Amino acid sequence: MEYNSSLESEKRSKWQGIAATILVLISVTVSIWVIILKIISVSAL
Amino acid sequence: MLFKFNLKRVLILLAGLSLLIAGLVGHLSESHGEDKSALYENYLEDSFTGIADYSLLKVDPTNLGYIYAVEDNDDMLAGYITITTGQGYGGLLTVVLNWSLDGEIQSISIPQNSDDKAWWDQLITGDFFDQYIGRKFDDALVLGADINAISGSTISCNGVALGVHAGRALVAEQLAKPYPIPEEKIKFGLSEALLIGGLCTVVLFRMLSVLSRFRWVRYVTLFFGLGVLGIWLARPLSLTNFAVWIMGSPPHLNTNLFLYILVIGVVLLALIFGKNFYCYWLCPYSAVQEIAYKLGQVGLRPSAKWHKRLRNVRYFILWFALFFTILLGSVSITVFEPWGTLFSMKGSFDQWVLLGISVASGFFIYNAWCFYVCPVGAFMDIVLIVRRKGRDLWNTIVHLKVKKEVNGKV
Repeated sequence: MEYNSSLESEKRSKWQGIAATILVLISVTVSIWVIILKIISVSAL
Repeated sequence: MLFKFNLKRVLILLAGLSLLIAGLVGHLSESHGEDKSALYENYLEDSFTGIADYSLLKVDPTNLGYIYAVEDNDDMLAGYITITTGQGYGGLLTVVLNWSLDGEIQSISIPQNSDDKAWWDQLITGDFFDQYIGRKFDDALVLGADINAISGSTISCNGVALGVHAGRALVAEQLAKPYPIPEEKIKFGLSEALLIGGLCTVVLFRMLSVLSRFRWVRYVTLFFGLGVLGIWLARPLSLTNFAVWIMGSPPHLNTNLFLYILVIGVVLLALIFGKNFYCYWLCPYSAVQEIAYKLGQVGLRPSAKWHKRLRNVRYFILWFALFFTILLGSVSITVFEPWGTLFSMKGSFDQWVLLGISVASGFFIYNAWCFYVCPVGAFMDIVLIVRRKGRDLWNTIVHLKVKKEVNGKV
């Protein structure tokens, strides 16, 4: 029982870690996208 | 093997070198104001239709000001056009003014500016430029008194005002008539006093061991930052504030003392005490992230390995924005952080998307933006690393000197 609960919590923390990493990567990607749009608008001038 | 391959060092070297090359390319591709007449003549043709002919009367090298005489179809002198520059939020902006023969402004246009579009558009929708039409060169034209600044875009308004003042000086000289020179005073007001107070409080809270152990003291300064720097002034520290210095076009001191205190104060305090007194302590966006996390209560966080990797992404974003800023010579590229959109409630679609995603991330991950994306935090970390390396180098030199002296005596 104890073994199962620790395994489950390990599994949960792994998935939480992956979800957090994906969320951060989305923020980073959108930031770079905003910068690229600015670069394009400046280059077009 | 003499040199061990170190990926981190190679990347730092490449980043530094690429910034230098970008600076060199950007410098070579700029016209540097020695002779802007070819560029300015394009502005004349684009801005004013119906000009039969024009001739350059004078160039003022101190503020890159040009004055042209305009002729009508009968070859008669019809008026003047001045082309001058002023310091906006993102760098120099060009102000083109069409003057009548007796020195009245007929039209105004800004063919080039580096300010953020969302903020700049406020000047257009707020009819800021229309206030200059019909004004004479000998009117006071003081921003805030004769000309209303647009709230939230005051630095852009000030840039235009500086350009107009430079233009009217050229017209006054041409007409050989005096004009009232506005008094150039450094403006120290409540915002500057509160900023100094905020910075001093953070220093006290962090340096006094009696206070630094209490968690609540950080919330006091954070909410002070949110109220003053965020909601009231909408002027948090931004990458742009550093970029204008790197690009060699710092803001006008007399009207932007606040930015001088903010930028120089935060950097200087970091160099003196070896601590970042802004991030997590005074930054209003950090306060927003804290509130979002308290509301969300989800508590996600990347694994230790990924946390370390993702922390370095901030340096990439910093490099990426600075590289293109230096290469293209436009500071507006650095105006992308979500707080500009949040506190001014102005922004383009992509900026609103970034704000939404960064606040949403804050609900799930503690200080997500600050830890993994913020270029200001990355810049401040570099300042602290430079300080540490500089101190280590100094200690090594002193140590070697002492060793040499001891050896000499022996």
